[in-house]
Amino acid sequence: MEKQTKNKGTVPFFPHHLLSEASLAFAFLGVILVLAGLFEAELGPPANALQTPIHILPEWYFLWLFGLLRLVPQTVGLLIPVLLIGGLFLLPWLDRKKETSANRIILLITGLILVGLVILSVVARLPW
Amino acid sequence: MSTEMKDVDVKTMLKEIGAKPVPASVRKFYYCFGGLTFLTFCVQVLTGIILAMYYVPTPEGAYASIQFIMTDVNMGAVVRSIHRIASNLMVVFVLFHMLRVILTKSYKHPRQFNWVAGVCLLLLTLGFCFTGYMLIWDQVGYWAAVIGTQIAGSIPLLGGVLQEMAQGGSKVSGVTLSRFYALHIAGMPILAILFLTLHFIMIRKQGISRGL
Repeated sequence: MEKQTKNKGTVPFFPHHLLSEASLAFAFLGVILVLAGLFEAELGPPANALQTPIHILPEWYFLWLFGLLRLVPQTVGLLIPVLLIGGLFLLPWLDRKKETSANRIILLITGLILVGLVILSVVARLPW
Repeated sequence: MSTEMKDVDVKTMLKEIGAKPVPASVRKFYYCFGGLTFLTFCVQVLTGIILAMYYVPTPEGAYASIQFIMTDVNMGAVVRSIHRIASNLMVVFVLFHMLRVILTKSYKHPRQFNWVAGVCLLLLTLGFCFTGYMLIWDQVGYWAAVIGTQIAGSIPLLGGVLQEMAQGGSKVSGVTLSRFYALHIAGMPILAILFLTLHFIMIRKQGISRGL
């Protein structure tokens, strides 16, 4: 109790924080179970090295790469993800603004990249 | 020099942890995605171990062993469905967690190395997805591996070597399956746990960024 009055705007870890975290965790586990029931994992036809499937799409999180490789030559299509990942690694050093100050350029680039990824994913789904 | 052991006073330790003040500003809902990612990882470890008990990592056995899991193993289809859906959720949560860190500018000094550890974890997550996809040894998984390793092969200079290393030969075969299996259930989990530990130690030492 004493701690609480001492540090304004904080809650004690136990039981307050732990209780809310644990209930969120259990609720989430419930969500996973429901989703697993709704989207049951299926099993497609077995692998056949001699027969290339006509319409093959990767999972949604790799779709953008697929779309990119459709639009540009393969070397460029590889360079872009490598640059993206390199940029991600170096983000703290690329953003030279002081702590706590907003950096609109970083936010703008993040937004543009996200929109780009979505567009490329749509491109991947277009019929040839 | 004394190497006297200190008594571990568990009660005091627990009391200290329990009394630790948590800033209300980091209890907003959008701070939950990192923790949820970790929870999903735990789900993946648990369901992954169960699936590995029945899975056979050979071209002849893989597909049939998954059929066996789906039809004969008690709750097998459920465990596999959870593993599949949790892998998708993990990617979603990693993305949300990353966006939160960008929006609250938490990646900045002094947390820059925690951000780097986080990017490594993102790549590991995608690596888990890619290798796990192939283990099913169905048409989609097999051809995803073929196309994936081909893409790696088109990298200038290094590509050829990389492709051959990933495939374990000149084409996708049982050797490739063994390699992806070893990475999926041993190599990458060890790396992931290592980076997670670093990630968490750095959070403990530096505290959660208050953000804006």
